Amino acid sequence: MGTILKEKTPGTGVLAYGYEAVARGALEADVKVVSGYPGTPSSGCTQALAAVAKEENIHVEWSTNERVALEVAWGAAMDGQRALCTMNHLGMNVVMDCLKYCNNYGVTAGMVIFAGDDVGANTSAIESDSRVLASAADVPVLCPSTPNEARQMTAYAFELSETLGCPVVIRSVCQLMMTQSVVPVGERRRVPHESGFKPNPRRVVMFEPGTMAAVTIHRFIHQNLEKCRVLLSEKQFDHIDAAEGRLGLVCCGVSYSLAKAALLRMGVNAPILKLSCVNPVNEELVASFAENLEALLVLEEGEAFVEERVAALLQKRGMAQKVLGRISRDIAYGGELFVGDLERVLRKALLGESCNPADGAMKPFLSERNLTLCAGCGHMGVFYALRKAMADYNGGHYAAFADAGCSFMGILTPAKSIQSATNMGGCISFASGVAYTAEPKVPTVALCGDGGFLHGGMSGLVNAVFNKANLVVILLDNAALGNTGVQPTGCTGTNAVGSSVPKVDLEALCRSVGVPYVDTVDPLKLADTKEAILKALDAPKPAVLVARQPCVITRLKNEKKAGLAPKTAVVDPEQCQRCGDCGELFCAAIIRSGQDKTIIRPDLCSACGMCVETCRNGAISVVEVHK
Amino acid sequence: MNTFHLRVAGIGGQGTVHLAKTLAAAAAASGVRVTMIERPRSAMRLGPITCDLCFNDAGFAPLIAPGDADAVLGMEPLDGVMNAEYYIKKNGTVVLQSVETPTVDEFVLVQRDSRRDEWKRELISHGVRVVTLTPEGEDMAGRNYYMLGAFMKLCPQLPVSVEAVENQLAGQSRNLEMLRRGLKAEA
Repeated sequence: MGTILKEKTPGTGVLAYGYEAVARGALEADVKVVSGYPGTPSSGCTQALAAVAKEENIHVEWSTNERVALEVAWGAAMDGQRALCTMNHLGMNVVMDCLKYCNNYGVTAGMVIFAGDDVGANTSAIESDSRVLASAADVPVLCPSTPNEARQMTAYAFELSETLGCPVVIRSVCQLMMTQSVVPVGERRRVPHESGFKPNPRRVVMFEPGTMAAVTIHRFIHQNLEKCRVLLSEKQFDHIDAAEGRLGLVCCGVSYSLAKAALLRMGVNAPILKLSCVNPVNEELVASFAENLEALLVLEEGEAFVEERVAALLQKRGMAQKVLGRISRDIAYGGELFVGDLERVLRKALLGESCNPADGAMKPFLSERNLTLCAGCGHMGVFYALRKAMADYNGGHYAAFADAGCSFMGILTPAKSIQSATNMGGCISFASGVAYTAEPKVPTVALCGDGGFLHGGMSGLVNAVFNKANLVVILLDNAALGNTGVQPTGCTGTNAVGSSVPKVDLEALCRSVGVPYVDTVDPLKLADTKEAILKALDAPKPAVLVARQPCVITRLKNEKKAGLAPKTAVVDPEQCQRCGDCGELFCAAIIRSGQDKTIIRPDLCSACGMCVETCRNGAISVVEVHK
Repeated sequence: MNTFHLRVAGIGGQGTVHLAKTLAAAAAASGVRVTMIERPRSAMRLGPITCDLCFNDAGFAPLIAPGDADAVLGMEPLDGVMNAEYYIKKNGTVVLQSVETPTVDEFVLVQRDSRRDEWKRELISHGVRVVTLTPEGEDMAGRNYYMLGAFMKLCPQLPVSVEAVENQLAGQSRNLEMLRRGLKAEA
């Protein structure tokens, strides 16, 4: 990873992911501080910059949540250092509070927010469009259409931010960011900046005489957007590809590249307006494009954001062109745009061919394979023990909730150990709400990962103590954000650049906020974990149980690095009675078939030993793998 | 230059992305225009993953359209045939690794999904060439490159040379060895 960040000769093409192109753009703009929170497709950008942080003498961090990341970047930008903040679309929802303040108070040095939207929710629980959120905060938004443009736009966004004194959002999507292609690099610039916090005397303290009041600042921000519109119109990011035709395509971001590819496949041409700067929109360009057309078909990933703006603009100018897209139901809401789907839409719109949007549509994922926990994951032990403990406690009646992250796997078939999942860290307060009104005999449990707990769960726990929630909180501490690529958390002991840092003492933290009962257990020890859950259920509330076991991916890497011989669990066919007890773990390495004895796949097994404990016949043992 | 579209379908932990990145790097180093998109469902092991490689395409549309894949390399046979069913061209080539990893349904029902065979038969009946191979070696390490080697032998239309791939694997002795073993595999 990161070759593109090390390339010194401008113009040289380097194979790189889209997110690496964004990272390169930031380096070319002389970024000094990078903060982010993991989430596809933005994580790789921060990781790539972290890998060169020491040699580039830049600060790179994984922050505890997206809002913290934005506050860090904002502070750096106010201190005169160019700053980049990265997050995915869910993170943009988290930062809105700070983003509004940031845009109101302004920045001194360039500050860019890279929002990677997982349109289609490939690795996320929900879809969301960062253009809508950034626009609600009156922040300029640029949407690149190719990896190279992502690099160029990111570098330019720092200049734009500095000129306007406000943050600028680069919004992109998986289809661009998760793709490797050859990207030519640009020149690295050194931007002289004086360090030192210099507040804008007119904007920072709003209520003192002589400073702008909130309403005045709001008006100023809109004037700033007008200025931005002029500056962006001088750039070549937006342009018209002229062609004969009565129907024009308005393409935002990657849809420009996809539309061109679809037209190429069809062997036809159409007028295209490439609209990369979507807040503010270049109104003159849109109007001049529409002038000689009968209709406009808007192609964009996410909400009907550009479509609404184009329609409003034409209406304002008294132009009668039809606007087609999601609102007109020519393109379905939700999901990504795929070249195959676009081809069908364009065949209907341009050639009048019949098209049912559902017919043969691209399938984002083609697999019978539901998500499952890695074989040997400590969470598996917690879910198993939770089911067993609850069965003993009151016949299996309980309400359990997790947050977004690996812990939400408990909701999936077949284990169904939890009932619902929430936003990052939200399960503790959500479960509190349930507990306030739940039947006293039905225990309420929140299962929160260490990442989620440090992200937003801590305030939920304080709230639970403060309001006496009758709740058991199980902190699934695997010292990683496993679901997004095993990035470090405050519980890992290392940070984004690999420096050793103190681990957060979760038990001490919980006690310090007044949690009356705190216990710790190793979730790979199933009987101990079940016992610990039963104790917590009878303990004063809110009770916290820390289930601590490193992420299995980390564990296996560390064992390999240490030169330890690989191990696996094996089943003695003489002892195996096919009772199915081991199957209750729902471990992917355990293979059962209707007729044969159970086997354990050595290539999948991580030798956690949990299945050994489940086997009543003593048929399973852990042995070294002999190659 | 001829375009070539390859979908690699597998599950997390099999080295699908590693293989696709190596192939993309080999193509780029040889001056072949290439895009490679990875589509994981999550970072975890055993989740579904696909990588699409488009060689010599004029535009930027990294995801292969239905019916437009020249070849599918299935690192897991069910995932391979499912993707092939939808994405393979008529007369395309499907190379499957024989080792099956049960899906959740297969796990719960303790029963092999019969569609594993049905889809394969259907592909063959439509003129698709389907080859199933069992990689040598007990452990997972290098199986991905064994399959790549076998695929390169079976599908010479792939516009990337063995030498270019070997150059990318310099210093990765296990992967290089498995690639070479795969190149000698008998279908």
